[in-house]
Amino acid sequence: MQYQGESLQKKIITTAVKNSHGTKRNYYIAFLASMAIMFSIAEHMIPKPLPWMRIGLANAVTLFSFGMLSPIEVLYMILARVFATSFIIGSFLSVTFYLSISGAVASFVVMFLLYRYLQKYFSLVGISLAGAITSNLVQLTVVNSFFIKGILSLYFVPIVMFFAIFGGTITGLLARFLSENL
Amino acid sequence: MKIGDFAIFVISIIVVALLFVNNYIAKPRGKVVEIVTVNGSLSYSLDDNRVVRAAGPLGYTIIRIENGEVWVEASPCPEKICIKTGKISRVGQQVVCLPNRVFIEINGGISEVDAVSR
Repeated sequence: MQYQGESLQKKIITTAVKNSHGTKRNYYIAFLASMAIMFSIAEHMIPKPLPWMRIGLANAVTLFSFGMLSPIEVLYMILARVFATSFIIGSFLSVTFYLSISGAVASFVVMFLLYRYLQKYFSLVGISLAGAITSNLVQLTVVNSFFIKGILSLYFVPIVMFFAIFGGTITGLLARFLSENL
Repeated sequence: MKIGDFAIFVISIIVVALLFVNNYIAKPRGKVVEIVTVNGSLSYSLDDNRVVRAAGPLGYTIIRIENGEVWVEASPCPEKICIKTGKISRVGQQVVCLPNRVFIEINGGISEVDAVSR
């Protein structure tokens, strides 16, 4: 009996969000967004050798909420996170903001399709890896086509993808931890 | 962890490794091909598609330059090692035909003129 009680306690957030309706559900979406903002800001504080190198910890919350929210609600959550983070960091309507919103939306599309249709073959770690690679390649394409035209983008692809694999795996493990324990 | 996770991990690692080799380790693609025969040396730009007939003691070696690649198409030599060497495109690569005394090498320099004879 005690073990059962513990396992019920373990996934308290997941069950609460899944069974919520109306206003309460909006509160939960805002709660998840604030969780993602917290990860984003924490990540900005880590010193990085290259400015565009990101771990993408906020992505873990996106993956975590796939199991609880409908896709359009996850998209709301992502947009809220991107806007709020840019207000806090002070990068609203700057290059960083455009890169972050394009990468976030593109990786959302890829991760959602993998989660919905190929869950048989991919766990959260693989989906996170695919999302990280998509996000980084889309950001590189955006830089190449709108901001610094004709930059040696093919030259940067291996570096960017190397960090994407590294960060995507960490994010995936964090997402798995969140969805197993919260 | 499921099978797709390992698949995507391995594929992306292979792509990164290949791009690393291609972008940072491998020699750049050449600009000029130098063809040395018994009659002297000729340089051609790799950007122009053309067929070169190089004269040697046994006859003509047919060399084709197309899409930045160079290869020997036909040769009168007995062993056809120059044909088996295949296509070359990167700086420092060579095709050699010893019986017909033909030597082809790719250089990285920028050619200012179409062909130079020395």
